Amino acid sequence: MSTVAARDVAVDGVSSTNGGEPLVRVDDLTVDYRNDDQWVSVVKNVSFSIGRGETLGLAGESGCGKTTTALAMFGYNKPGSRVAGGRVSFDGRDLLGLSDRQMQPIRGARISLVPQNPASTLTPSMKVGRQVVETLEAHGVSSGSEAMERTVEIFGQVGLPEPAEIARRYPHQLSGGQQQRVVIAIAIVCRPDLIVLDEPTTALDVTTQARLLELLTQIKGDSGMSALYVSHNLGVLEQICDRVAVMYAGELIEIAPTAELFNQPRHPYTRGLIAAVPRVEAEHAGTEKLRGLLRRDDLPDGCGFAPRCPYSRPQCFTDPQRLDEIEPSHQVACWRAPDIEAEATP
Amino acid sequence: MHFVRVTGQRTALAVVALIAVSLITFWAVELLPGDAATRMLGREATPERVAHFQEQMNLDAPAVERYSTWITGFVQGDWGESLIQARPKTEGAPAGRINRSVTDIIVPRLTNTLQLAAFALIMYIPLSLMIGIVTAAYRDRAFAAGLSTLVILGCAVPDFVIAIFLLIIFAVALEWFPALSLVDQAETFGAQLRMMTLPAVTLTAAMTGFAVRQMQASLMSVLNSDYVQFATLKGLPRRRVMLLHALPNALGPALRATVINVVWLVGGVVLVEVVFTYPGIGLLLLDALRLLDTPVILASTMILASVYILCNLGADLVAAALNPRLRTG
Repeated sequence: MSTVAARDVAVDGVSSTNGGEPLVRVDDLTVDYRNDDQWVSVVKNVSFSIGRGETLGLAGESGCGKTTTALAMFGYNKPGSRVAGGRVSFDGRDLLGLSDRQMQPIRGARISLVPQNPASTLTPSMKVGRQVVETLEAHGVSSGSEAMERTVEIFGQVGLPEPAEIARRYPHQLSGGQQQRVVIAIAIVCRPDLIVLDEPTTALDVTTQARLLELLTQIKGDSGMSALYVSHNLGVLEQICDRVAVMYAGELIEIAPTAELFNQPRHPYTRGLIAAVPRVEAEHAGTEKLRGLLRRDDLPDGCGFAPRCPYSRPQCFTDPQRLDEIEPSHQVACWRAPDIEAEATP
Repeated sequence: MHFVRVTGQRTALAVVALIAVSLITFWAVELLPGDAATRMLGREATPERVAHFQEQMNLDAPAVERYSTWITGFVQGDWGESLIQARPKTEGAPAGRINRSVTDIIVPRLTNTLQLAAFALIMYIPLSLMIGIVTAAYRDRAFAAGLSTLVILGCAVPDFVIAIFLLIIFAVALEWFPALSLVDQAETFGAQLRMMTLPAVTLTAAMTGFAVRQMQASLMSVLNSDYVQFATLKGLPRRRVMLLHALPNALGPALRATVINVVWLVGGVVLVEVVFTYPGIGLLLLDALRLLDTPVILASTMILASVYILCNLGADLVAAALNPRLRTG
């Protein structure tokens, strides 16, 4: 897939401030997981917003808290987790204060999910058409044969061949790419305001990935819905997002418009991530490869990335870093960001 | 097509298993010490009388010949005659059909046992499903934890202890139910049901614990699955998620637990029948073993083994029918 082409595309409508209140505003979100008798924060003081029609990318390596953050958009805690603080407001409502029952009309209808692994996302004992129909019925969009017609129609829209025939199949009778198209159909069938994509193409082969990205880009263009696109794959985020936020060890460490983030990454971790993206022209290659692994059991009090950072100073290990505006709409959580720029480009 | 093939394979396997059981049982009985003749005629019987009895009952033929006679008869529904019940009238009389046929002995006993097992299963299936679902769905609540503890207790206490406790409380102290389950003498269906209650409750209590734990475990893992999370995040009501997304996919292990339970029931029923003097096939088998009444031993064992194997076969086929992956291939 071409990651180069998208690079210089001008980013418009980036700022969440134009057009009034953003659709989603996350403030100081902290989510804990239970580890034996202790609660461990997996997401720490994360704040961001998503504007109407905007696609925000959320990047970071495995275990950094991306999925947990994504699920917080649904006011949903995985078993054994809890929201320890913060707010998630959606269209002016605080979602974290709502009960499961109060969340029901929002989930699937106004905010929908495309999870990572299509093979385990669809219920194995139910025909896939039925799984779309029940979503329509649960939200009172349509029911009975009308809902079935709508299902066949949406299956056609997401590019499933012979949609009426596919609707009668069980999940295991479809390929991975087809399964994910069914999941996408479920996610968009009620025309939500926000679609949360949690590594939607990671479990698929590269060709299928490329086709699904095309589909997602097209859907986004047609519908004008907002999206939160979670991925560890920066190349994908670069193609599809207006802005990208980078997470490390549960904290947001940099957020900027896509083009700016890729052209001028300011946090050492972001620089490392971008350097790790394989590229034809190899402009960053070999300069700042990431060292080591994220070890959540061994995080310093200060910056979580300090143990792996090529630019770290003793201070980095003791002083917590906060997200600060370094340029309008570009925030970084690294006090050394200005120096690094100078050091890296002699 | 795939389903037909699975059905064929499993059925063939069941037949092979039954043949193996018949061989093993026949030769196991052969190896038992003592013989029916001495037991019937007493230690002082003359060798001539013993020989005559053996000839009359066809006990002197070689084992292979007796096996083939027995198995051909068994398949055709002729299960032979009891060696013990209704002995030969007079010495030297022609070997007529004066002994009670095994079929006549077994059929009423088997009916009793099946009634008891059915009664226990009717209580057990909804009970274990309900407790399993409730404890898994409300795992954070105190009452679910209490229920789980009770279930583990039911698992841990041996069934004969449960039986004796039930007897002491409900038959001796409260006198709500009879201590002896002489269902053959019950005159009304109500009276018969009352006699069956304590043994059936014992069996249910012993089976429920195991099934609940299986159901709990499988439902919990299904509740943590991606598809249940997805169904929830589609905005479906909790009940729908539970009944249509979680439950159908959690039933497999619960079904297997039920099979293991039915299989256990085959043995458990023998014990419970003894404790409550319930006139079923288990008590019959025990009496036949004591008296070395070979035709009755063989027939009862074959019946119990057939129930066991047929239940397994049935469960395999139901599991295949429930699982679209197996059904559609």
